[in-house]
Amino acid sequence: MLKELIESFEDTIKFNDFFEYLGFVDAKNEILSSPGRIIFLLGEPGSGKSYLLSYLKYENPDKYLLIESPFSKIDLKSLDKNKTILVDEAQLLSLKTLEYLRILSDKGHKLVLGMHTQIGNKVASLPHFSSRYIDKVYIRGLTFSEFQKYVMNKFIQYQKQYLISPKILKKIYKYSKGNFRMAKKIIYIGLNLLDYSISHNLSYRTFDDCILDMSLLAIGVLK
Amino acid sequence: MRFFELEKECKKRRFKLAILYTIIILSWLFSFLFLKELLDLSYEKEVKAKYLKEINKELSIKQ
Repeated sequence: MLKELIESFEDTIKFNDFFEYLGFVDAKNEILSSPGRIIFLLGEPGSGKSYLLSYLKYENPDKYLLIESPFSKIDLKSLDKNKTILVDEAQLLSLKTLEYLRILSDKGHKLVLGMHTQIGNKVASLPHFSSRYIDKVYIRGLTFSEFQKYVMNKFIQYQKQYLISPKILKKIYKYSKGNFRMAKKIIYIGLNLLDYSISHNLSYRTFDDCILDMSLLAIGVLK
Repeated sequence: MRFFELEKECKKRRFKLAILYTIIILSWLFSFLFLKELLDLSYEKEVKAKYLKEINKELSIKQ
């Protein structure tokens, strides 16, 4: 019943429903205009770092090389010097690999390292980075109004806007602490529960407080 | 599907919360009433003392 709506909240990066928010645009512009060879893209979990790196690659595939996981194999020898290397989850890289990437940047490659804020700041202060011209770009997560706009757009798209209220959206935003991935997960699980309730003629017909609590319990936010 | 399990947990949690809120509201109400009573008493005492003083004063004048 709610299959399509549920699928739209799955935790995957899709560019067909690209959503631009202020933090994203600011960070993207800063990266594009930065003169630094090494750019640290820093942000809290769920603020959109992976999304931004994937979007840069999607928008201009010839200009960027995206390393989505630190364990993925890449052929750096055949790498074109004009290409910018985007590394996601760079906090998982070993010091040796970071040093190697730093050498690549010395040879002319531009590097964008996506990391969690705290670890990123520590890595940036390491001697082999601090002595070079590095740039730190902080990406802010979605504000409540941006989050509300995103969610309501999806519900309206599938004509299910009556299922969720602004009060519930506020609570979801509060519980997810601005972590967009977490907020999507809460909605995704809540919609699955709601779908089950509707298809089995149970009492829950909208995404109410009970469905929200059940979703939070399922994720482990509430104990 | 863990639906019923979650629903049970949710209801249990809501019940506990309802009890907690009731306790908070009742304790607030009783403390308010207690304070009110206490203030009323002290006011009554004050008024009584004032009148007693005045009566005593009048009595002493008459005498």
